[in-house]
Amino acid sequence: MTTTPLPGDPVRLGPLTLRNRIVFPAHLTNAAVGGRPTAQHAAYYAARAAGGAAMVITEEHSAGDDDRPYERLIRGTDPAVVPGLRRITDAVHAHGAVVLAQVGHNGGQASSRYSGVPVTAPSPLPDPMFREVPRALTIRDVADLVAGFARTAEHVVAGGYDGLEIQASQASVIRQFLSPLTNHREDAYGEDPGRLLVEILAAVRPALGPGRVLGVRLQGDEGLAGGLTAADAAALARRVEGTVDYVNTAVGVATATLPLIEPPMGVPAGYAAAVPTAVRDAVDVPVVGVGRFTIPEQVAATLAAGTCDLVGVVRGQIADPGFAGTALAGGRVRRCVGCNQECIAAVGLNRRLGCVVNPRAGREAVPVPAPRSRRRVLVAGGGPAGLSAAVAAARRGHDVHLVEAGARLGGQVAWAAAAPGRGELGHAVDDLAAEARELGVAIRLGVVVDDALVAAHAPDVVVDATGSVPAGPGWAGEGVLDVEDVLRAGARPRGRVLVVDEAGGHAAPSVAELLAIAGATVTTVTPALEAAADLGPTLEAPRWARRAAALGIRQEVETVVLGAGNGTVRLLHHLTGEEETRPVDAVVACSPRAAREPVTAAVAVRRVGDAVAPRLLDAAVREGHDAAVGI
Amino acid sequence: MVGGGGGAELTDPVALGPRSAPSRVLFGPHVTNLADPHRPRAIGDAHVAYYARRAAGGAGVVVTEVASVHDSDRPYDRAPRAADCAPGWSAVARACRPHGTLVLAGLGHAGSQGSSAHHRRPLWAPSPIADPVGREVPVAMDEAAIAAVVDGFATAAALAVEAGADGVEIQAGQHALLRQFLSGLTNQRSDAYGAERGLLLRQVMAAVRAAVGDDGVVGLRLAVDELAPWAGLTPDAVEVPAGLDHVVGVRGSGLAVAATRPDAHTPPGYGVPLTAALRQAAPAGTAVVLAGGVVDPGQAREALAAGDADLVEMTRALVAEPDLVAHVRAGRAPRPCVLTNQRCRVRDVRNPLVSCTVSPTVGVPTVRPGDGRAVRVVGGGPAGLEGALVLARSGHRVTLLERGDELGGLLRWVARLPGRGRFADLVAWWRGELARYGVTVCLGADADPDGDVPTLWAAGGVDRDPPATGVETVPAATFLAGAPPSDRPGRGPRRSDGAARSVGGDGPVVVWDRIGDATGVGVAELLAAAGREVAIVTGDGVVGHELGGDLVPAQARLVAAGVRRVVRHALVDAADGVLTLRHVDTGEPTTLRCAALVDASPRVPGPVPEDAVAEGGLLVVGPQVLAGDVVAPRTVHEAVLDGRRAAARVAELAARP
Repeated sequence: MTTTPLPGDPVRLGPLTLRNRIVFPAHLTNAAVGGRPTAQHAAYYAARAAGGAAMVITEEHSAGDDDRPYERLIRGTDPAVVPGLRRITDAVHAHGAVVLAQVGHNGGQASSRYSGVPVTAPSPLPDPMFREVPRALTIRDVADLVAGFARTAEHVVAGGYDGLEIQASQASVIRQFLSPLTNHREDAYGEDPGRLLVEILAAVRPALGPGRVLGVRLQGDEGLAGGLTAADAAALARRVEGTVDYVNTAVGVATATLPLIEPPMGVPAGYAAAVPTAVRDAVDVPVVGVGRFTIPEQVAATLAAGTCDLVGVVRGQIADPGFAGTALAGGRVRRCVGCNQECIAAVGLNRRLGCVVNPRAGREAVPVPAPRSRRRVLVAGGGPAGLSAAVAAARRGHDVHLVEAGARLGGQVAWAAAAPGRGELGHAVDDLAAEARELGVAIRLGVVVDDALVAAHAPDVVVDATGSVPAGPGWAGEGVLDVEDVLRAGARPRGRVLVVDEAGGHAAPSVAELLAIAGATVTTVTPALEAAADLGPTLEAPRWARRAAALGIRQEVETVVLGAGNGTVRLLHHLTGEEETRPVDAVVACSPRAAREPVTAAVAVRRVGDAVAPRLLDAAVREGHDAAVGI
Repeated sequence: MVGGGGGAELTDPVALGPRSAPSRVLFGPHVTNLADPHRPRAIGDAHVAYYARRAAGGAGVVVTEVASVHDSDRPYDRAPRAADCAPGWSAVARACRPHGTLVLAGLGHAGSQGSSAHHRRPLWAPSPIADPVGREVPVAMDEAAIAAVVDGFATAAALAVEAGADGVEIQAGQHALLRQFLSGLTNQRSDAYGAERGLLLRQVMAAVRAAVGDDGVVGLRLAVDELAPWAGLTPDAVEVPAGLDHVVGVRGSGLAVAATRPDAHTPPGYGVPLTAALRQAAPAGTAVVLAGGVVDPGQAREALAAGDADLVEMTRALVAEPDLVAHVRAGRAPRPCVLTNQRCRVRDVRNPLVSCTVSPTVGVPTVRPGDGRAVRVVGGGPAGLEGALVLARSGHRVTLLERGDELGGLLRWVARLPGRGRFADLVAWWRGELARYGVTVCLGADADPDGDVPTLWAAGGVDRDPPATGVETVPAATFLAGAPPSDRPGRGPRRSDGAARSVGGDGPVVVWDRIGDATGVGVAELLAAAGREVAIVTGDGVVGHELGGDLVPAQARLVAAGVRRVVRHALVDAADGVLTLRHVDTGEPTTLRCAALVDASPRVPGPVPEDAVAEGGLLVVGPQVLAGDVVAPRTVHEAVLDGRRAAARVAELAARP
């Protein structure tokens, strides 16, 4: 296809027409219970359909009875899933969107933990993440595998879907057959690696029946030496073009190069454009492109560039279910910041999907109580918890006043976002602040909330969101800096700087990087076995490792600080019990913080966020929101 | 019977306050994840079956999985919630009562050692000190919160006895708010609960006793040694509240979680000194329970004979062998627990079901009884040994053919790893059981793959190609085969290690830790103990990535042994005694001196007939059922499970006319 469509242009997808160009692609939610879809699935997808998405592709339905890579997988081969599927499709159709099911099989990218039987793959090579040696599929197994896709397709049809998408990319036995890295077979499926996909499509098409859409998601860059490329995706797309109604694209292998699939903040929109571009050159059916699109302008730009015919936006629509509608009508979305904490890391840890900037994500099925009478609400603190409370209260029609002691809004997020590569984090509070202003929240800066102010203001409800303060670790002597001194107040110690990571998260990496750029010789120490370990689940670790290496930041582990002051630091290597005294020019403590004292004892106060206990951004935004919906 | 008389047998009854247990073996509270996913916080049918099986096997006391007494606590996804547990407790009590077993409801609150992941609430704790593992800063509890927790314990205890439990056991050991109040590590309060750290425990126990009454059992699981003498609880200062029917001594804290239930690197019996301290401190009438990795009846018997304890907790032993007490009564050896914690330690975000390395509890088929027909087992590794035993027990005439000159398969070599010596006991137990059931064992026997006799074919996997070229490479199994038998658990690897001395001449040795299991770390320890210069290389952020509870202790042992740990690196190639590595994130190359490489990667499947058909994880071809590593090399657990499954399939084939 060679046209350059606008986001609002309809498009033909085989027998169906989509109302615009924005797709909500398949992704894991962990909302399934006992292998079946739930009411949460229906509410979750319906919210994005209501928000304007043209097509929703629901999460993976497994086509294998024994394919159980994670606990909360939808077992597509089990007929018991059909009523739950029907609930999803009814809910999405009610909002005028097309709904497809993704159908896949994880092959060797899986575990025997839940199934109790060996995983299967083209060749007996252990997956890098699951580490299990698979049983090599026999010819008869391959026939069963194909039949499983057809059986799942029948359930999808019975569940009222408009069609399905075959997953042949990030976690897929089909990709394992396609890739020379995982297919070492010498039979017909080794000679023709695409044969399995062709057989599956041939079996699924008749199972779908007429009037439904069949798509395939192809892998265009495994991110591994010798792995599949965009040219491979294009060639395969051309081969199957006659059988499918559209081609979706992907980069990265879920169990080897996951950061390619779900890159964190800092990776530019459209980073994966090479794959849909190559595929679109090769085929005439519509092509879906993905690639960390967080604002509608990026969607328009990628369509205008001719990259693809449809744009897949996952995290952008998790963050703002109304993303698609806003893209068509103009306006501002609540932006995904690419923190990957609640949508990626949490799901990887077997928890239900959520979103740092959208406190409703993952619990759409839980009703919000209707507001009672209009109340006068005083919010103390303009950090994420206070802003979230103010916005949610104002949306419910309350008279909201937000009072911030500092000179600017945003709390810790505002200065945490000043660190290198962390700028997008600031969008979380910038967007809330903009919404608060639009909603008419009265905002006062540079004013401390105390008993006198509360008495004068006479609110019905006070939300105390005043946050936390540095706790100052017990070992810190004279002159030890806090992370806040560096990131907020601009301290720039030079020479040999020791950054002590006791809190985890981004504080220590941010300080280390900032100071190293400013010319310091930086060493980090942590009691943990791994440095910056929290950056692993959010898929930021590889980028951080490269940046740290480029800046010469030394990262030491298994080390506790016993004392610091007067130009030296005393360290304990806790595995050996060895102590060491080391000269340093500065020490920066990144330690757990302490909640502030309550602002007032005078009236009913709802405490939220760090003022309760210092935690991560999602707790602040969620508790602020929840306090407001209780008013 | 309580109070240090000594001389009691494990199989003797014992009084717990007003009630009597039929034996002195206690099945302690532990995470099972057995709840129905639709009712994730209730005690469900799978729990009932699990506990009832141990009661039927002779357990004296069963303490159910610890239930949270307040909604501020949901330490893991499937953590029972006391308010949801009454029907489950009733069912457990009903199922265990015919066996005389006492059923106590485990009750607790994990405090700062919990998680906000599932209930999305801040954690509660005595002081706002983040737990070293979870690292969430908790809320310091105010008086209302403290009162709510005291009330929660009392309400839950009342619910439990009303439901039919014989009583309760209160959790003040590992993962316990009550311990956090007791300890100077975690309690830095300036109020009455800080001035008297035992105050909350005293209040809770009084409230629980009032709720339970005098005819129910009130027990306590109490941290006695936090292994942190600078501020933590120590055995010399232990205080036992009055009015308890039993007390269990526990080791460890948030700083030392693995110390509470360590694997076989720690010699069993570490609880004995704690029990002695409790005996000193406990009032007469409070039964003292020994806990601490006791899995052998002999050791349990010694502790009872010495008067150290009135009962012995043998949780892991009963996971491995539900009939342990019955076997002891009959003078038979129970199937040994190997103390690896691989399958029973399930406090894991993936919610694995509790199971056992040597005795899988999930997915085990029933075996059709045989009528003395002949069947054949090929391969004397764990799959073949277990399969042969199952077939013999079910009435088949079994011949086991083993190519080598002794039984055990890879377990012979695994048992040479530090901390894995108990696998030799397991092989010895299998050998004894096969003899008892009349299995004909032929060593040094090659098997004919053809023939009509139904056959369980478990001939094992084979070595894989070397991971790098240009250097002498030895698969870990080959290396271990040349090593002498391991010492008993707890003692270090010994220094007279032939293979460790000879591999690569006397140059430096590199161990490739591809999957992070116990093999790479253990091989590195053996090499270092033989005086070799050793590095261990992994692509992960830490060596032994999958070790679980042994992860931190393993690092300490490697550091102490002088092993160099190289993380986040992949192997590239080798030449002239130099191994080239590449950093997996930066791509930066590095070199290591390397005279030889020991590859700790898993092996590859053995030869499989092309016309084999997959059936439930097995491969079947004619009268042969292929199982274990020949299908796909995995852990001992899968081999044993495959052996049981394949035995069931072979029994079906044997029953055909």
